[in-house]
Amino acid sequence: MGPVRRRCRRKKPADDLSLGNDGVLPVEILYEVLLRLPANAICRLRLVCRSWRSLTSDPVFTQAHSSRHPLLAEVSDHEVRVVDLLSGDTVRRMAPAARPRYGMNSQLDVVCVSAMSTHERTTGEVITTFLPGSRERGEEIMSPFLLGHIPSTGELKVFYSHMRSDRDGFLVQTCYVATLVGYGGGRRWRRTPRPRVLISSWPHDSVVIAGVAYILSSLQYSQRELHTELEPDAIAVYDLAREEWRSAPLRGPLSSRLDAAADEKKLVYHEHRADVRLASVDGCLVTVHHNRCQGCSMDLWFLVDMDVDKGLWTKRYSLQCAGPCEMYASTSNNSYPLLVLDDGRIATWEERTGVVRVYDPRTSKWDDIAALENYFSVNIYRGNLLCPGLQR
Amino acid sequence: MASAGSGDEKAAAAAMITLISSDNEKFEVTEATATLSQTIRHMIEDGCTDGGVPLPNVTSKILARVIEYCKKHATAAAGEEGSSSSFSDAAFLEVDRAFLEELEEFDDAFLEVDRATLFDLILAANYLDIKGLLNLTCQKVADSVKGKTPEQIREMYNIVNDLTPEEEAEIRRETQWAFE
Repeated sequence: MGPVRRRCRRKKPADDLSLGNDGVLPVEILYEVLLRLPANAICRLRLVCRSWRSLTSDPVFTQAHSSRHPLLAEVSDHEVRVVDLLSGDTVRRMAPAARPRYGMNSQLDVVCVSAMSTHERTTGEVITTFLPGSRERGEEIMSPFLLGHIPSTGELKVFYSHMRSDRDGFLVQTCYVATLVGYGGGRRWRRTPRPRVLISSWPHDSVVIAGVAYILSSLQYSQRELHTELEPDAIAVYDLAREEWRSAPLRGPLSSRLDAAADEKKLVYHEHRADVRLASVDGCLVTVHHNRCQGCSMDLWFLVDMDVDKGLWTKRYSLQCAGPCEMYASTSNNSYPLLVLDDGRIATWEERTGVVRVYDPRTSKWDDIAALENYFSVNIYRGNLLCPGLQR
Repeated sequence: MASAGSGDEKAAAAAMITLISSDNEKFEVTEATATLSQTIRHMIEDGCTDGGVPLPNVTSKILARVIEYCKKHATAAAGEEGSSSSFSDAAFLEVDRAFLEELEEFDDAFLEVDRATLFDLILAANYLDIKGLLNLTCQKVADSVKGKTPEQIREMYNIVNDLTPEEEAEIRRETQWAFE
């Protein structure tokens, strides 16, 4: 890795950088040093001189920096902050326009937070707020806003679902989509088709990867007749670019495997559904399975090649829990995977205790790296703070 | 007579490499010490270390320090490997912790050098591709730079500010959040 990076650097007109300044701080060293600073310090130090500015604005540098400094976005009652995962430095603070409540996700440099019936968009400088289309409140359940970036068009869209009971007591779900950035945006909410089954409204039951939303089905089963046939890890797939659902749900690893064991005990939807969650790790769709009966572990299944049609899954990690998980605790209290670090360790977030931990698969050991008592939602920050506006 | 296997092991453990500094001073080090440098490790793998390894970019003064670092860290690495099988978990953790503490103390003391030496160490670590040493030395410089204002940095490193007021305004505008 080292030698490759050096070679890349030599290709650039690197020598120019130290010219005006006597070579006191050789550019080779400067590169290595600046690479170790947090993003906010780098932005400020661009004021030192031209060479420092151009070195830290170079795509080779900004790429190397972002892979070396994974960032987390953390949400509390009154702020959203971006934190350097490994050093713990707070790199950036943002004050949302309304009080954040739950469920946060981010694409590029946009952090999307759900705030009761409000939604904030946090970009480079502005924070704006706008309300979803529904006028009804109270007995309804709203999903978190799912932010998606469509690589082919550069559009940013937001999706959410909304559920309420009709007069006969059946749950009715409505889905909405709006374009935040891109053609014909206007940020107006549009009704969009809903899938055949009710989809979940819980934060860790949905992810968006490359403009496609993956959502587990709902734990609410007033429409039980449908759910008896439903597999607990079935995933509804929504294409944000075309604004339509894939005709059949994607089968999760549990049900795919059970096919082979023909008549073995069928998965009972409402028994197993609660043990499954969705995550996005290394750009892959991952199903997270908590095994409460078998010594308490967490399996991470990756969708091979992100190929929804083939639907092949591979179990890449099985994390042994540090202690027994609480028997009746909901899975949303357990660890949630955030990313795989360069050294192979896995960073996770545990909502119940508010602790960011890393797990080493080689030693099966956990290390706490941060305790975030007041931050109720934590996820990867996917923007690059060093190149404003470059992503879109 | 010892078995052939253990004889080989002894030979391997005793394998010495000669490093030659830019001012032609020769340093004999064990292979375990030398291979903390990826650059030298590759040379050994390619079988081109007979007659010594010339290091034209590193002076004897700096090479001596680099070797001091590698010796210490090679011992620590070997100690960790050896202890893992022969101690119980708790004892292993204890030894592990003692090692790490000692290593940290060594590293702190190692960094007590003037700036010119520190820079030379970074250049050597970069050239020899010694990850731990590069990290250690660069982090030291990074920490000293982190909380400083651009003005202080210019003073520290004798840098002339060649930015126009317009460029400065542009930098502030680009990432306004970093200046709040």
